[in-house]
Amino acid sequence: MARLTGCFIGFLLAAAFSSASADENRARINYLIHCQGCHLPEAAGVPGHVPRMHGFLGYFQHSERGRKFIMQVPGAATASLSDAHLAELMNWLLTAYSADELPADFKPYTKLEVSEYRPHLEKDPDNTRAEILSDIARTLPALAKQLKVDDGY
Amino acid sequence: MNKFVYGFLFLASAALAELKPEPLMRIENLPEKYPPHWIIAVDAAFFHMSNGKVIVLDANSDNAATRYKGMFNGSFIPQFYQGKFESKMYIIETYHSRGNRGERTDVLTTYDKANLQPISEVILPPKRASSMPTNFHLQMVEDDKFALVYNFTPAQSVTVVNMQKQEVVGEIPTPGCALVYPMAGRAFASLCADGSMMSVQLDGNGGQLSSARTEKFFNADTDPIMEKAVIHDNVAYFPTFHGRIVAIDLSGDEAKPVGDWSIVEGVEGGWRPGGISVITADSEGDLYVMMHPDGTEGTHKYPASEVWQIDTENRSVRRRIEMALPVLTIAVTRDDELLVGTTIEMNIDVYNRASGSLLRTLSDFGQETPFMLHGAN
Repeated sequence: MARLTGCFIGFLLAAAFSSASADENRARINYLIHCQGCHLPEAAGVPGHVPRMHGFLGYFQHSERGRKFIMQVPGAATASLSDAHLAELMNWLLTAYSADELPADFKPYTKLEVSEYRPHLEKDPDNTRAEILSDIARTLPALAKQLKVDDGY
Repeated sequence: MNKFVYGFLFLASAALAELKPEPLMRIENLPEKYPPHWIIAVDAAFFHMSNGKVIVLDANSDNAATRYKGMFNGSFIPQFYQGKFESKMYIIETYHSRGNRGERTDVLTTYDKANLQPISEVILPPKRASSMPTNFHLQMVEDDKFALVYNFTPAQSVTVVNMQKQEVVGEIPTPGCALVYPMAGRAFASLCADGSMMSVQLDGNGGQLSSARTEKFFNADTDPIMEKAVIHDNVAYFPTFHGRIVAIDLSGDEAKPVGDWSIVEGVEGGWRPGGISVITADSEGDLYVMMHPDGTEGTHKYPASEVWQIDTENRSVRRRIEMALPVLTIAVTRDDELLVGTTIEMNIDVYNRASGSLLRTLSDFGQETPFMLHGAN
């Protein structure tokens, strides 16, 4: 009887969490397939070559331009992912690896928003990135301080 | 006893007198314009990449000793470009200050075809793409005035080198787009992950004048295009994983898709293109595509048991040439007489192109992994 009850509780728990955990799982798998080759496990990046997203990506959410930019860089914009899955992946990355850098009023991307930003592929990612970060740093002391250490690259 | 010693010395000196001293240090030059049956094998030295080689061979010779014409080195998977003009060849290569570690130096080296000696070097930003050889990591436009080097850091860009001045003149970002496909003018195209192609026009100084993107013309999920291509008469032909040929016109200001067709439709056996070089062309513009049977997801690098000759005008398979041993890469000599292929045993099989018969196998020429072959210009 005890074993059966255990089973039943397990079943209830699985049912309760299945929808939410399935999404996160899919986001993780999509990260492995489409991003990790360059951005490495834990979104660590490669100093000097590949932007670090861990502890950094959230800063871009402090401006409208930054919010668009991370959907328009080639790795995101041209990934073979649907708008919905790209939104899901980016929302997961932001909250899993850069929650501390997010603004208090952060709103997850919607599929519609991604479909609007994505076709406008960023043509000069390095320079645009530098501009956006310096703009945000003017009003965000935490980023200004961080930029003195490194620019997330 | 003494008599015996004198006798021996006498014999020895007689033998010496008959020996003609061989002239040493005799250095011969190769012709600047290589004969039509000569080929160039680019050997990546896959198992110890700092020792790549470029080897010049006479594919028409049955004499193993004299068909070897010479070689030069190329470090860390050299990417090769055979100049449009006779006297020079080019490679981009990578060196590290401690051999396999330390400070990295990328260099564009110009070689003299006649003596296989380096003529000059341009030091490049150390970011050229380190990947298996293709014909599109290093290209030149405007009669070899500007060299274009494909970079991957993994941000993608193209370094522009003015070859007359022997200096780097710029770097053009190609976000999301790979490799360098030379266009007719002072321009190049790159193949993009979203299924489009980017075209970049250069100004007279090698800077970016303008850039454009085609509409999406392939789908990387349903039938990916291969980055391997052959350019004939300013049209690039790309095979797809599933066996279509996609033609892109590179003669204008912008790359323009001009049609695609299947070469496997109605053919039994699940044939697909595959291998390392995958596709080449003869001087008439017929394509030669390396094909393997029972193709499925993941077989796009499989060696080819057949080479299919494609008529681009009628978009049909003219004939299928069976390989004695599967090949990884192919080339046609400039007179169209020979079809050569690197076999799975890493030798080079030489076929009569017209009859499809195997003429000979080139082996033991110091090769290890000759992944790319070129008919001499």
